[in-house]
Amino acid sequence: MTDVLSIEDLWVEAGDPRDPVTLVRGVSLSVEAGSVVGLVGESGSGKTVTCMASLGLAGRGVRITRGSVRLGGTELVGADEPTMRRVRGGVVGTVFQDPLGALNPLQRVGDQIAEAVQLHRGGRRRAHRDRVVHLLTQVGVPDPARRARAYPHELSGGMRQRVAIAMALANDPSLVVADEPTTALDVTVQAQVLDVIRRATKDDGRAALIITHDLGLVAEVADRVAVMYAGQIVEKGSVAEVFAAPRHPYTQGLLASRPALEPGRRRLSAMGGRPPLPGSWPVGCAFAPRCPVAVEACTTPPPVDQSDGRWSRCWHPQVESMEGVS
Amino acid sequence: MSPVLELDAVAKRYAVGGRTLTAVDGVSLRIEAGETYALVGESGCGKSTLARIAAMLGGTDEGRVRWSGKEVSHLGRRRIRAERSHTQFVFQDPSAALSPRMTVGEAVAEPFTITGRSGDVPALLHAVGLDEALAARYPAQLSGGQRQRVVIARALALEPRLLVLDEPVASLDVSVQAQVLNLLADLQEERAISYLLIAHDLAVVSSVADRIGVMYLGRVVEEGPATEVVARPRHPYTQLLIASAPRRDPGERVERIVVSGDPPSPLDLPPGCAFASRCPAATAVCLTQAPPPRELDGVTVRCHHAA
Repeated sequence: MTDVLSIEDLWVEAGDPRDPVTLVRGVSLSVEAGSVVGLVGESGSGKTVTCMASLGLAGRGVRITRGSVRLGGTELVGADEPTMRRVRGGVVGTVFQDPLGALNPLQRVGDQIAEAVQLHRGGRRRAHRDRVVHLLTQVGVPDPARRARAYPHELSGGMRQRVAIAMALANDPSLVVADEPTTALDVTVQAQVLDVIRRATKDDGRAALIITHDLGLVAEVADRVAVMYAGQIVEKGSVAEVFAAPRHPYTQGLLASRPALEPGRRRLSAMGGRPPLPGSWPVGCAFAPRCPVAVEACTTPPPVDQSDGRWSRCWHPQVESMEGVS
Repeated sequence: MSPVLELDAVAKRYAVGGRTLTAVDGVSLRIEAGETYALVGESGCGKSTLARIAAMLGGTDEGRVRWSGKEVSHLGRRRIRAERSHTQFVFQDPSAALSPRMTVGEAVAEPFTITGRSGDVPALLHAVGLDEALAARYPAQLSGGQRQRVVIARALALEPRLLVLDEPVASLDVSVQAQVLNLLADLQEERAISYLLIAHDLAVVSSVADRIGVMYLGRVVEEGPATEVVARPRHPYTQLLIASAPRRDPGERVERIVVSGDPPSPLDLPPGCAFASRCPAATAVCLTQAPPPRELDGVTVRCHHAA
């Protein structure tokens, strides 16, 4: 399979260049055509910065200092603004956590989708009316011709997120990047929107990169997962393998600390400590201070272990299954 | 002994542009000493309004609120203040609940300053698992999890009988949520304190609650022992909530329930069951008659068809 997106050894920093804070260190990640990759991490892990910096959306003062981001053969690191603009909303569609922030409150949603189409395909906005209705149908908006005339505030949260997804799909992108696309939604709506995302990506052969803190979301839609901690990927692999037998102690702890939906009060398996913030990452393995199996060697940077086709950044990856850990 | 909290047919209505929005519609519930009662439901169901009524932060338009047998719903602002130590409120966002200009020590000591009572700030910090050296720090110097511990320490200062916890872990990192939930369980064991927990995450609720009340559009549609509600949900809305929860593992098979339609507007509630428009099991009676509460194996359900 060909890689739609290929991030190689990406380093990102922010702040005063003479005294920068490192946000991302050496992230390599690829997304194949037709596959969904979940990028998981807690606050400050660098998951959002990795994606935003790759798309040139990270904002002022955030700089890529090393590495490469290739999207369908185009190098994005160092690319000029016209190239980036062609990429965003064209080859890449983006969906964010809060659909209200992504939509203009003063414009009918149909016009906004038409504008997204027009930006990349030209022509008059009215000429794209059929495309708008088609896109709204695709994301499961009932009565699309009528809903196209609604303003964002007239729609429910779930409908707004569908509209945002329709906008992301406006120019038939080969990659969809979604940052916490269901976090702001109610649980019954989450399941519906996830279904829309699944259909718009996997089922249509599109690649997707989903950034989230929610392992449940990854289990629902992703084929592959990468787990970030303190600016680095600490484990990556197929969702089935990583969930069934996580190699990195952080992945293990994260999976074990999720409460299960089952009857009966019980004590939860909790990791000690908290995720470190950029600027205060421990030397060596950043997870070592919280790690139940850390040893002396962990104060030096851990190598990547790639035995039996797995990938983890740990001095002693856990090869036993999770049995007994909970 | 009287229950720590009793709500007796409380209701809250707001006037919105000449119409009436019913946020809470005749809810009754009781919480015993040392018990965790979880209210679950989606945004707009009235759970946060009900939490504020329980803590007497917003009054009730109808019905009664009793704290350990004492009716407080008719008390004015000044007289309620004398009763405040009974019930304390913990908000979702600990950053908003703490003054940025007060040190941790000052924040935790504030209830003592206000009431003129004496108290042991280092002991409170210890109780919530914080080093007393943190007393000199400001909230901005703490992590989200530490801030929420400070808020809990302050809420415990006056030794309340009940803590109302509004989404206490929703804003925390996954690896920190479990720590705070375990802390709440430990504090409950040590102090026999009761919790009214407002949450949307059923997995969290199932692991900490003794009783669960499921709210939909201002009403509790199902209520009972948590194990029973989770294992055998009887109301179609509870069934939908449980079926919608994200799966834990990629291979897990989940029976999804597909519903169509949006919930009705709280400004314009239908005469029958409020869930009927989305309910896969709805029949003619559901559209015309509001289902009365029915008792099934210790669970109270408002559904014509629950069995």
